[in-house]
Amino acid sequence: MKSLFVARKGRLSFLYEKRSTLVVAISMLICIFSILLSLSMGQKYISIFKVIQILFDGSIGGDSLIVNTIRLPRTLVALFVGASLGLSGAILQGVVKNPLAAPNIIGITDSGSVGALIFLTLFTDPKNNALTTSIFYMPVFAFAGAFAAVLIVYLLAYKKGVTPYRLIMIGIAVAGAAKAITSILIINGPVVFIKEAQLWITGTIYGTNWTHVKLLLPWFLVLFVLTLIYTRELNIQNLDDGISVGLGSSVEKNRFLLMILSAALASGAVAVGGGISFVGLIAPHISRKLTNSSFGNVLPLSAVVGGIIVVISDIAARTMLFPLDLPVGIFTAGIGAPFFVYLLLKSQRALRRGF
Amino acid sequence: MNISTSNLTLGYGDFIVLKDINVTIPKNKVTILVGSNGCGKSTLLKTMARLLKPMSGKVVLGDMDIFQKPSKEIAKELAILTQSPDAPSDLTVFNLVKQGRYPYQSWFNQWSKEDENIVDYALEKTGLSDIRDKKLSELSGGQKQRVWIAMTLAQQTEIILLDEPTNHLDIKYKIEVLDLLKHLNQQENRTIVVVLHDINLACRYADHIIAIKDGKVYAEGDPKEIVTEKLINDVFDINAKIIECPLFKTPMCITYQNLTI
Ligand SMILES: Nc1ncnc2c1ncn2[C@@H]1O[C@H](COP(=O)(O)OP(=O)(O)OP(=O)(O)O)[C@@H](O)[C@H]1O
Ligand SMILES: [Mg+2]
Repeated sequence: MKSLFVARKGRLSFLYEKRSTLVVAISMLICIFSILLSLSMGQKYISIFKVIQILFDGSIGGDSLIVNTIRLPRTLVALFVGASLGLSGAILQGVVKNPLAAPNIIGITDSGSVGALIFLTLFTDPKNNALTTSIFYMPVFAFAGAFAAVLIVYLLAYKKGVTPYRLIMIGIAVAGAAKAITSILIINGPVVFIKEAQLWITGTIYGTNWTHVKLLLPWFLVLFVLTLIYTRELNIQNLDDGISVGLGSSVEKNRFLLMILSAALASGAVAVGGGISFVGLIAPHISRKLTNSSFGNVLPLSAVVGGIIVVISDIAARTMLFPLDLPVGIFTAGIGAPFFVYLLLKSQRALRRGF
Repeated sequence: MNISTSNLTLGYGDFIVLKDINVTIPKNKVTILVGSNGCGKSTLLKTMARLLKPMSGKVVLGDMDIFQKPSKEIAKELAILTQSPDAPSDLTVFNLVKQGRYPYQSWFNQWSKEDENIVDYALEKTGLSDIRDKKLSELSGGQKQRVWIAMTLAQQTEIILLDEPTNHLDIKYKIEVLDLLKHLNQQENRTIVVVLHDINLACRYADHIIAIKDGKVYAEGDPKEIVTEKLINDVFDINAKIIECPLFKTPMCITYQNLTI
């Protein structure tokens, strides 16, 4: 019992693993540090102490303008896009019982692209290559595309309930179809559109502002809380269906609800950040390696780790080839993958099912 | 709590596996299901645990059709360990065994004193206390099997159904697991139903054997009374000579294909 911390009062009782709780706490500190770093780096370097001062004193002036109106919203978008993707991936991997699942595998990202491209197709004026409406409506289309994909996958996979295997296979098919539609739209679209579309597909948070934060933050928080409520069910989902039913869980109902949660999180992230890849796959993996497969640990940690990956990737995207501001999606894989490989090599265990 | 089946017909799609099965599992006894590969033992066990809907007929648990009962209530009365289940390898022994408490928990009550005591008991009984914090990927096949058994024990049910729980186990652990089941039956009055391939161990541990053949119950009863050379020959399609086990006085089958090797 040394490794556990139990909180009991009356009929309430909760259980925490000490080590895992510590890991979550440490990663939150790292997360805060990466946020501060992100606020301090850029065209103009602002020391971290100054950043802290600006955040807490709200002092006015040039630096505070840079931090508060440019860097802070962008960093927060990075954080919550990453957290949403990490969390979404963790849920999905549990539901389909496969650690290789990720939001983009079942077509969420590609269908989001279709939504975004439909927006560009509909609202680009081919004469002057300009948008006829505000770019702010693009996330709405992306969201609709992404979310519709999951519903389609679920409906097509449904045959007296859905099995994880069918979900994945049909998801891959839907993703493939969405990719094809994307290509058609790009090839037939106006020229400016190609760059815009490519940026979107790679994943970028360039030019995001407080409006995006205001859209994404409440969405993430509500879904995060719902996810925490469903943690127990997710732990059960991750076992064989026979065992889950035997334990008295309503397997089908919970599978549907959790799929919707995962889809809603990923769709929100895709709507704002485009097709940022790899975070949804790697963040849950890293979390499992740092703790264990119990979702009480994996869920919060995946959100934090996902956030860290995108925030740090965004720092790299903004600063590495300055003054070029590259799409953050280029770096998420570049930063997540080596760390993951390092963890794999470090834990020299037999790589059985699903490493 | 009694469990029985009435006119059960089971199958997949329109493929019928078992037809008109009427069995009553003797209360507080060890019942062992035997039969050749693919004869429908797992199918029957799964249906008795509401994992599979019958084509017709019903399973009665207590005095109710099992499919009319809330699933969580059933989980407090009946536990099932399916044949070779899979689990995420980064799960620790404790993580998995504690899931056995799921039917008793709620979001507000995730780890009562009772949960703690019972999980400790389950780990203790299966000899896993020392490795409770190890990950499943670090365990041997036999240890893993015992983790699953511990999980079903943590469910604290009167009825336990186990599908080939001795799979992967070496002879020592095989005996240990069966001894454990017998102990649970004798000391704690649990009703145990096991699918087992080893007919000799089945004869030793079973109070009641159900032999399945060609979609039907071929014979059921006390192994001393029903296990004959003809039964072995019909059910397993192999010749046998039956002698009395010198230690347990139960039937012991020496099986062979031909008398010359
Ligand atoms: N999910 C399934 N879909 C279709 N057919 C199935 C399914 N599961 C089992 N069967 C078929 O039903 C029959 C009975 O299978 P079952 O698993 O109950 O056999 P068993 O007696 O447990 O065999 P074993 O000793 O090999 O475990 C077999 O012919 C098998 O092919
Ligand atoms: Mg079987």
